[in-house]
Amino acid sequence: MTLTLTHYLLASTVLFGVGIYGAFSRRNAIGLLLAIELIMLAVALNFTAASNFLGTAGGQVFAVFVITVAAAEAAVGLALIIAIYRNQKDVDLDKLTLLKW
Amino acid sequence: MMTTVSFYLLSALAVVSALFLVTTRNLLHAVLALAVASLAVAGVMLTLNAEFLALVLILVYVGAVVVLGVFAVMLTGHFKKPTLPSSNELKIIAVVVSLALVTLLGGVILGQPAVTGLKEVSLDTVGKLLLTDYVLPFELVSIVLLAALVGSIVIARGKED
Repeated sequence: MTLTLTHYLLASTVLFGVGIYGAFSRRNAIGLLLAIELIMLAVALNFTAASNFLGTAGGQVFAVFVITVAAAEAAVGLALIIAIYRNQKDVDLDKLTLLKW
Repeated sequence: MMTTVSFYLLSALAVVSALFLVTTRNLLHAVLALAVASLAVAGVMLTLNAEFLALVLILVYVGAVVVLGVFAVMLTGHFKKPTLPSSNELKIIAVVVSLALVTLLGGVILGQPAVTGLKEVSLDTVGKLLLTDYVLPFELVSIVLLAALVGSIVIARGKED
């Protein structure tokens, strides 16, 4: 029973699905951001697995890019959450209706 | 054999901590679950012989993203009142959508021919590709990082004067 690319792709698909569930159902903005980080994690794993099974280094390069973008997104997102909290005293996504009319 | 066992254990750990992340009421626990999930995924990358990426993942996710998350939870005071339900009224729809997505993607993946045997991808090649073929995206990513750095400082600092 050797490991194939399919094993890795299925594992990252399950992680991706869990992240999608979190991004849909989280009530708190920080929880939403964490779920999006989980999705990025699954994508990075997917790129790496494809790269190392197919023998092309391009996948690893893109995994580095994905990790970088995930870090940038986390920094901006959490800064936004702190700014929103300072103005609204709450980061409950159901109550953030300032842009709705 | 050793690799197979560690792959199954680590991916099970990653999925379990991911499920804990999206369901727990305490956000501080959710951030720590992200640290566990990142470490587990880094371990899975080690079974792929991708040591560099595993180390980068630990450095960026556990070292930076998790610390940022802990700060955000602390600054917004959400570790004190984990009484609210963690999910909104979209919960059932979210379960259905994500299950459908996983089933669809899993079906497509299982339909593909199996690729066996890890190839050797050296860090040497990755580094050379970063500075030759992918030099433009590489520079773009560094600009994105700079913009994110400046932007998050400006946004989080707020008005003082």
